[in-house]
Amino acid sequence: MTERSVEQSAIAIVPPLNHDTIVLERTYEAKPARVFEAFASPEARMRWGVPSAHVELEYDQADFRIGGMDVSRCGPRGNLVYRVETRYRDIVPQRRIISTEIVSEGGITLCFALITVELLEAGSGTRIILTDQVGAFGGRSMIDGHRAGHAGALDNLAAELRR
Amino acid sequence: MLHDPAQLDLMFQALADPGRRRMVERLSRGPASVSELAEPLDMSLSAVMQHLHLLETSGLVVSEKIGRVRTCRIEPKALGDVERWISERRRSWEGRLDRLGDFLAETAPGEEKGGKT
Repeated sequence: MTERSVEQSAIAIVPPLNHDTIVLERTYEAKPARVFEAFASPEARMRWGVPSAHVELEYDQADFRIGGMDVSRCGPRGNLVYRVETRYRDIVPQRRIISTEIVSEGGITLCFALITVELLEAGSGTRIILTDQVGAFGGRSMIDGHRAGHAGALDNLAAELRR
Repeated sequence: MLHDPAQLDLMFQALADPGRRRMVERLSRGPASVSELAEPLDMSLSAVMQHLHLLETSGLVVSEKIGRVRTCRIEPKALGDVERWISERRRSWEGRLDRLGDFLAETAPGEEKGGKT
């Protein structure tokens, strides 16, 4: 094997991919039409779509229809380091929203996800089941030397969230 | 470990060499013995052992001798980071769904406000 082919293949250090599934259920005292609208409307999502008041979310693009794509940036207030691309795959009004999501930071992909939101009538309210099937990479600093100083960015976000 | 600058220096130093990067690349696909690591590299076993020593010092790779075979693998610390990342993602969803509940309560039309229609 020549030095050249070693050099070429060495570029492709492959970070490991780890899978997980997150399932959350909630019941809201609101009709399915209102809950559906809260997911459909980017204005509504700007209000509720961040986990805490310390996290900011901005949409560069929003297109809620099958095949449409949202592009948003989020992160600790004033430092929107994460880029989220959401592609809507299946939308059944008041029943179901299926999307795929890619989260990246500085051009480096952090995770891929398949997100299903099911809406079920529950008395006068709505039960939702959110299933987030996520494949996430680790070892980002290994493939991203010049951004080593940002190795703790996710920890900073976590710290922000805990405040 | 990733937050210790001295450790980071060692890591990037370890990855500065194409042969060592190739070893890490091979190990990212799964554990390997020293001779398996050496085989595609056109390197002597003792050279591979030297590179391996550097990779171990950097904390990127760990090795374990079982019988006569030394098996190397990627240090699973990176996996721990990912697990933490995923649990933060879960917490993030929980926070968002809580806020969705608040949002729905705040924007409830008159006839829903009593909780019944």
